[in-house]
Amino acid sequence: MIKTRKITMLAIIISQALVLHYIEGFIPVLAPGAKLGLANIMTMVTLALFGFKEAMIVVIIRSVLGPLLGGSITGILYSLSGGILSGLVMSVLYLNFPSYFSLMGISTAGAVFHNIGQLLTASWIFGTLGILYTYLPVLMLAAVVTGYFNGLVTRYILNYLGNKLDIKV
Amino acid sequence: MIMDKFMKPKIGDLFIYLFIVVLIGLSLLGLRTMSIDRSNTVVQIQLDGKVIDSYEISQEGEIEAREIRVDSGQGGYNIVRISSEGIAVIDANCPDKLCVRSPNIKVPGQSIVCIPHKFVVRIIGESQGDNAVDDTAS
Repeated sequence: MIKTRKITMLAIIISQALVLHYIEGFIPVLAPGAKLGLANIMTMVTLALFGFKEAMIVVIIRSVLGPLLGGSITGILYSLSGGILSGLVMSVLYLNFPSYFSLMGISTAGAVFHNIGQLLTASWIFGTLGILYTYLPVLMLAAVVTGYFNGLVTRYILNYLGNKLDIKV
Repeated sequence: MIMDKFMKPKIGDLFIYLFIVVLIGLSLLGLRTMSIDRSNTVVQIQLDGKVIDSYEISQEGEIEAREIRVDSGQGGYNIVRISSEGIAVIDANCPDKLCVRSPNIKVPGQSIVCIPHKFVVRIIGESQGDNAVDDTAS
């Protein structure tokens, strides 16, 4: 892909991830701290279309800009730690073990490690592992549902984009 | 359908779900051990601002009574008694004996102080439920 086209695509993907991140704030969720993690869809799309480096660029820029949109600057630390950890895990699963994991599985793993990253940061900031223990069980169950859903969405987007962009995925 | 090779559930997914189950189990276990920790409190003895001794006591059941003699230098001493009735200083050779006359302490946050000997015995640990009010009151 031409460089300019790639930059434009990444910019569009990041802005889409930001919009998804923003609107999911309006969607009520059952458990405190649980989120749909729709922005994760765009991370997986980038991972599939471009690769590891680009996916991490999207994750990092989204993690820094997302909390600024939402209004809390301290949120950057949480979203960065969760985003980077889940991005790394998903990259390893997708690029190194494609024959063992489905997109839904990879997405679920991403959601799980996003939660782990955030909770570890929170535990570190508050100085007690109690936060991790308290929130993890609920968030893990939520991750199973949202991860499956996000994986499904990613798969449809990739089918569509793959045909339109004539990109080999 | 180019992505079909990623569509069907695969063997690795099972490991992810297994991993989740293990994580949930571990964190429930962690939560359990933490709440056990919370029911234990520690009696801490300080001399001149430094912690010289600490004893773990359980809030449930009987506490084996014991007396601890703390020498604060220059012949000064305080004798602390830890028992089910709480913690008390039963004897001391300080001039004012305020520490001996202090009521027994039982709740985390309370302390007995002997100013002449720069001696403090206090109960630390997270208090539970109603005790929280006593903490600030005492």
